[in-house]
Amino acid sequence: MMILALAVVLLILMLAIGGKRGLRSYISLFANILIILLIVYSVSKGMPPFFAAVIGCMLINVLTLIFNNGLNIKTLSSAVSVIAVLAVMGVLSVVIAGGANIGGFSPEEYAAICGYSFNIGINMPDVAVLVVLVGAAGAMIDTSIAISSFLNEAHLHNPAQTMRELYLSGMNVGRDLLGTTTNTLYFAFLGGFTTLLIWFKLYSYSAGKIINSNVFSQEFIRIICSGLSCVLVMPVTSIITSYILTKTGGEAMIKRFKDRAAELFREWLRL
Amino acid sequence: MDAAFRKRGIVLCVLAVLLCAAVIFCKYDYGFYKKTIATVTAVTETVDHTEYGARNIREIYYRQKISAVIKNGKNKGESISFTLVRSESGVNDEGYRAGNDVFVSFSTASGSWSADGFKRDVYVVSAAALFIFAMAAVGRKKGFLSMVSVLINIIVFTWAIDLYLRGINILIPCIAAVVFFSAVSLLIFCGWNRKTGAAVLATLIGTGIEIGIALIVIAATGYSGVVVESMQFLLTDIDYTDIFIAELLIGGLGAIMDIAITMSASMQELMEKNPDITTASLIKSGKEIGKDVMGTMTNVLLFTCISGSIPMMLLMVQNGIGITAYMQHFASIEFSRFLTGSIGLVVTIPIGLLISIRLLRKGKRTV
Repeated sequence: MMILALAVVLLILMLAIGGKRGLRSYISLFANILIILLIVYSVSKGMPPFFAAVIGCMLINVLTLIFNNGLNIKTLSSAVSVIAVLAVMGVLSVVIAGGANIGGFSPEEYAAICGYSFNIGINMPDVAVLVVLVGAAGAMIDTSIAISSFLNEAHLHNPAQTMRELYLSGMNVGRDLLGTTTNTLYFAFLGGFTTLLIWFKLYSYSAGKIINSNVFSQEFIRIICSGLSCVLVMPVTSIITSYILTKTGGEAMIKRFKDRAAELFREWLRL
Repeated sequence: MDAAFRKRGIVLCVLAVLLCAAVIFCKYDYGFYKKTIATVTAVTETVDHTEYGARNIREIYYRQKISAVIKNGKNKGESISFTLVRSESGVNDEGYRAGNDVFVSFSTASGSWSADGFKRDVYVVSAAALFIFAMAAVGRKKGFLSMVSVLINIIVFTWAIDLYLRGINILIPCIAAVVFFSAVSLLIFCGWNRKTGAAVLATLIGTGIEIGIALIVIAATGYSGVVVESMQFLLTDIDYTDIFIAELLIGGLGAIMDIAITMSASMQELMEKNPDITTASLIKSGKEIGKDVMGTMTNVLLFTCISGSIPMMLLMVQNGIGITAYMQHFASIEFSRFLTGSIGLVVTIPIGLLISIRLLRKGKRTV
């Protein structure tokens, strides 16, 4: 069937273009899917959604980083940065997602869910917070590892740099990354939003009705929080990585990212 | 404190004030709504009854007795009270707390008020405001440009949907929109130069191949397993398949653009710093870069597309439907978007690489 076929095509492509690393990336994707399923399973068995979110995000964090890139200074500082930002996002999600009453499903989605019993004994508003956190975790790991990886290379090339210099360099790189990452998030959101938008237009929803609808707010707040977490993780990763590199005498480990980081470094140094 | 720092500080302060003003405005914009809004002043909650769901899951229903004050319209200032029943889970209903703003409506038939939905605009606007401020503070000029490009894309997108609803086949405005989005977004980020040109070209070709592959797979497997019914709430006489393909197109575009610009920026940099670098060596470096991004970017796509399905998954599981059945059946749309997006992004790695090398090399030689 179609999903299976697509999954196979992706595997073939990732192997062809990425080789062994491609295979690892593919496996990490599946591992992350498994973690999501695990989260769903635990919540259905009674684990409080927020707790499941915390544990799930930790697992995702550790797994994606270490499996894809090994255990080294870069992944370590990334992991720490992600955890720090997750803490902040945790508070923010509870306030915004919790406050906005975006749990459960909205009237527009009734047709899709009416066949099921709604007596499920799970706190859906809390699940909304969970969804926001999981989405944010996945998004910010990419930005974080790119920055810590780059800083590692920059430090290797020029070990005499002070923490402040490294930090500023990291921020420079981060700014460019930010644009493209938020673009990725934004388009992924828009892809899903197309159907909704058509619905809104068909039924002539006013702007006020759209903004206040559960179905819109859910998606919107989720994507905003993902984007926000990417923005926050940038300075946090820069500070933590530059600190580890300069103050704790972290050794350079594998130089796999050397070429890319070196290029980026020279480009932004030029700017 | 140097001048640039002070100037940035001032801009940020002004922005912060504007954003706060927007949020506060939202809190008190009752007058702008035609529907009646009331602010809850007190809630008393009692257990109403208990129901049992699939797998004998117990669900408690609560009755809320709510007192509220109307904030707009002809009944402004009037105190009202109404009741509602909410479930413990909140799958299809919601409860309120003191201080919440709620839409209410009066039914002449029953002679009473009832709740009609939560007023969320404050939260939506606050979230957006936080994001905008963070982008401006951390991202500075590039952050600002990024948001400008997002805004432009949204406007064009809504316009494209309008065209669709007027009867034009969705794929035409979609393809035009794709070209437009790529060009505009990349131009705004990176300026008008060969690097951007290479990236745009790579994006378009990558997207083309992505959709080509998707269409082949669709033709071969005939949508089997993809339940386009989950779009069913859109009602009849709309061709879901076209919308589906349009969603695939747009969903993957961001990731493809990201890869394209990464490739072309790196290639340009390498060529500038080492004018004598061989093509073979460029390709080798490019491949390494590609492998680095592949893993994390596909993960970003995964989480963005799939995390929203978690509530539905829970609903299914609690109704005794296995998760695999759910994934095959309902999450197929999100999964398809994730898989095609990832296919597109992986495919764009070699394409972006080769196009950049070709275009940038040519540029160098004519200089």
